[in-house]
Amino acid sequence: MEGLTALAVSRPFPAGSELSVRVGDRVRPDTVVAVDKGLTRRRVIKLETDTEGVVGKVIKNVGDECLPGEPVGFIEHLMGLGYREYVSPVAGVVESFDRVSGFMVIRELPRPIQALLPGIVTEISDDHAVIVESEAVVFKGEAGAGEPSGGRLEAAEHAAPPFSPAPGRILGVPGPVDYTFLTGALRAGYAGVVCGGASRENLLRLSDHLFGLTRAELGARLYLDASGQAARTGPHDEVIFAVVCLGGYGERSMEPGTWRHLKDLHGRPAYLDGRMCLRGERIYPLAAVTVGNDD
Amino acid sequence: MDEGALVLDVTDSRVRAFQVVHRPPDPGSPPAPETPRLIRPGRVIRPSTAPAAGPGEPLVVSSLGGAPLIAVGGLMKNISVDSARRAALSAGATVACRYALDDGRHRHDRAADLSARSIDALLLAGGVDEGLLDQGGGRQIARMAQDLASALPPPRGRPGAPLPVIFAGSEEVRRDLHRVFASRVEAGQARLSFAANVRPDMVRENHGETRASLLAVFAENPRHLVPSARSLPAGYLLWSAALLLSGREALDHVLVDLGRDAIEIHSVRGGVINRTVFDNLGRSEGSRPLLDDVRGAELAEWLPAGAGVSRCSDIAGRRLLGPSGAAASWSELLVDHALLRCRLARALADHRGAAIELYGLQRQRVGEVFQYVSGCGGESLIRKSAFDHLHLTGEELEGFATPLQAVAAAVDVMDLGGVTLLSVDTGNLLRPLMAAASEGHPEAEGAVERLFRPVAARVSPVAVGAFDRRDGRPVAHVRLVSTSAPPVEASVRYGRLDILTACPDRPADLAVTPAGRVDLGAGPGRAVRRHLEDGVDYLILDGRPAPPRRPRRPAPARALALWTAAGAYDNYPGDEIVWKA
Repeated sequence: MEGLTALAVSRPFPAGSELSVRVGDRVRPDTVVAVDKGLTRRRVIKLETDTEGVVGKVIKNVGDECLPGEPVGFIEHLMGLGYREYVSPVAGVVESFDRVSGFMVIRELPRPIQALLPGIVTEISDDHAVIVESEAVVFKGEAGAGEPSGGRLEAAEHAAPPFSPAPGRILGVPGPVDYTFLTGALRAGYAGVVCGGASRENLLRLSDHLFGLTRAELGARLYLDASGQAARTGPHDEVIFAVVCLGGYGERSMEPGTWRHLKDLHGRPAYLDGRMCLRGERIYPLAAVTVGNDD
Repeated sequence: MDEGALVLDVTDSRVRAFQVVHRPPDPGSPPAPETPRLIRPGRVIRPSTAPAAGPGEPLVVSSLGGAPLIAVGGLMKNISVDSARRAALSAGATVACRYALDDGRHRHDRAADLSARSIDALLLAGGVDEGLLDQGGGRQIARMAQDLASALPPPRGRPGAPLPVIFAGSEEVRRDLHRVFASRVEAGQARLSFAANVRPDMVRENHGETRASLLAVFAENPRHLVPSARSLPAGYLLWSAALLLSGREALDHVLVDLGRDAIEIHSVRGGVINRTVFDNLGRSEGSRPLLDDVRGAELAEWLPAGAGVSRCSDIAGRRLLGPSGAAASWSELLVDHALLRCRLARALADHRGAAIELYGLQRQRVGEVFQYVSGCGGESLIRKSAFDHLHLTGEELEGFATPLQAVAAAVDVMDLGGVTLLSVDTGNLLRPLMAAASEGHPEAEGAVERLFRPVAARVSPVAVGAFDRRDGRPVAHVRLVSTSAPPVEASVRYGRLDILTACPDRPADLAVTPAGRVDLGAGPGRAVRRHLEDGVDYLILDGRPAPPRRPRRPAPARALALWTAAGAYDNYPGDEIVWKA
């Protein structure tokens, strides 16, 4: 097949994660390659203290679980007229609490790290990453946004919002897209969009909107049932939505040949990475559609 | 350094090669130093009187991958950490992050932050060598080191290699540091070395050994390795250049390197230097990648009215991502210049912020004497009075058709008042010349001092009283006198910008007399005089109110119109500059 290449995708995992695969294992897009135990994902809440320690009442103890927004402590003052609450920013477990300094450390819940594309694990690298190799057709993007995501490719030439629910899919369109299109795809549960072009302002706006948002919070904002948008993440996991613009910023369309190629790959597992900068190095976004028999 | 040696100037976008030659003196006449010649691809240019000796060991000036990225850790952010940061900056490094016991973060946050970083080395400091550690103070340093040791990332671009860790703190805790890093060293994840304490006591700093250690780390990085060549970070050479330029004139000055990927600013006052780096890719501390941060609205401030915010944002994105090269259209050109102004404005704001930090530190220590009085530079920047001289160098100068346009960009974002001489390194030769100077080339230092062409003298009031703030009102009278040209006389008018042709290549004396109590940098109502030994091409009489005190910023169209009216874009085709859809 034209444009076929051996694609190696790095799936990083933080220190302390539990590996679920070994070199040589075959994986599917939803295979969990590692479980992040949360040892590097701790959130610290500073409760108010005075000379004698924490002021007010602490609700959660060490070992207790808490959800995002759930109170962990509160202070009443002015004889009950005033009330201040401290809430957990994440879903996790209270790992430690120091009554003198007022620091409460919440360790986030374990998070599965999925392969996102079918292939073979070829390496567990020194800088904590599982390398999955797959045969794929790779389309290099000129602009993009969003963290890596994966799903089945749905090439739809005339797609327009409102979309039918499509959890766990990647939408492909040949032309430019606007903010309404992108949020419509997000609302429908798509894991990403590969398109001709998009305005830089819209991509920045989308990134700002999604930054740090969990699926439950997105569902609440869009008046949707979060559980119906499961895709491959849980309700308390961050929303992942990647956009790859093959033509670049602006009102650009894909080359006709590129679109035909993409259409031919309709229904195949796809991988999108919309990042433009990684650890201080410039990278190009990419869209890859795997063509192996092991999906 | 051998005469005729090769100097390679390496950036992320290109490599330039230079051969530094020296013309031997004719008998009975003083030596005439030869400036370095640019080597064209495939051909070496030699003057006919070139010495017979061939090229020696090459020297590489590199900003490939940006400056060396250093994480800095210590005890107190305003003491040991700050001293270590300045030492790192003096070695041409960029500080990616800082960790201190009093930075307000939990130890887990620091460890998580460090483990996610991509750095070239970790620099630790802490502890004053005054026996204070006898009471157990060393435990704090060891604890900080332990937190960071548990989260050491591999060095940038070299997974599996040990991360260089340099401890430049108290000698009394070196044994503890050995113990903390022992397991990491044994596992091949860290390489620990020591340097003299950067802050041996509360009033002194000592950067020399730390700087040498960081330069050594840079030189051994495979990214910068060239067989049989010595590599130096470009930032270190620029820092040296800033000190060299200050030494000759004994004037306070600012050196700005307009690189494609980063802008470096070195300000020198009273012989003391401040350096900051503003990086496009967000590698420096507290910054984000420019691609994610600069919005269309900010760019539009520097563009003509009617420029579509979304469209100029798209063009900016493409220019930031695409290969470097001349703009292909008016739109791209104007966006390029707007982008440079955005970057420069942010870089200057960063620099001022760093200087204010240092100034604040000085104010806390009233009564103590600092040997390294870097707060002096901050004071000048805070008061916004003029530095005597602004030097411009760097790759971005090639995007301007004339040096005056480069000066225009600097003047637009500067809100410093007074009389400032603006000079441009028109050939972008500072880096290779400084490389030659660092190797002891006999003529290179002199060449650096003569390198910058004085393009413009900018006269702008520091402070204007309410009575004088009326559009068009003269706020200062300027007189430029040269022995071989008629005198130039004009007024600086509030709210207006005028450019006059001055006295290029001839010594001249500039006298600026304020109207009433206008402050030109020497105090309210005081005149300013400058002798311009090499003359100056233009006088820029800038009566525009400086931000942020403008009640409303001038409309973008007006800002650009002022420059087009002043002739800054005269070298472009005769079409009127409009935003072409």
